[in-house]
Amino acid sequence: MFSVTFKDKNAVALSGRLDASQTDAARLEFDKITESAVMDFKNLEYISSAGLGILFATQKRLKSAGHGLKLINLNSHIRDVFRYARFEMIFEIE
Amino acid sequence: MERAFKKSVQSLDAIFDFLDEGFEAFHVEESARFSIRFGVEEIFTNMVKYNPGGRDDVKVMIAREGRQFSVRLVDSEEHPFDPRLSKEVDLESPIDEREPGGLGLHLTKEFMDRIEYDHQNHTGSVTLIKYLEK
Repeated sequence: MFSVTFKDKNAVALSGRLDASQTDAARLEFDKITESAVMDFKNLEYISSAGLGILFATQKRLKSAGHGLKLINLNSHIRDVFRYARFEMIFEIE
Repeated sequence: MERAFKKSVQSLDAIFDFLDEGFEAFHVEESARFSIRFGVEEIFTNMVKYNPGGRDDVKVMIAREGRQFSVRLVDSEEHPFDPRLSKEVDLESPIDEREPGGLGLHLTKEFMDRIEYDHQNHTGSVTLIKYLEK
């Protein structure tokens, strides 16, 4: 189960498992982000390369408009995924 | 342990449930489970995306021998595709020049200790191997 909760337009929380079966749902929600936002991964258990692809496309769209995502509270496994993908160069991660 | 799954990303929930059964049955430590899920999803979704023909299911086999835990995915396959030979991924370019394609196999190679591939009689199989600590 994967879900996206908007606390306000600049604060988004993800939860569950962002795998290849959830990319359409994720894309619909992430398209609502139109300016810089903090994305909280505290309750995100898992992300696959399909999930990374959606995040990457969102960041690319925001960056082209002068905005960007800041990712917080990544668990150690997801942090490894971002490190191996060199996504630390692409996202601000706290 | 062995089970067949319909070749669709909608099977992922059932595959993760099957992996969880395997993790419990073979006493796989928590720290190894994320990597194995990641690798299995990547290989399975590659079969869904790039080999939609042939049989409509993928067989998944889970085993443990000593500290070696393995998940083997078997699919009908006309043209061999060895995931170990996937092209290198550009990891260093800035965001506007970089494409995310190919990242999944790159990360799978990082996460797994060994990947084996076999193709014969119109059947391809990929075995993901993780060495457990205990």
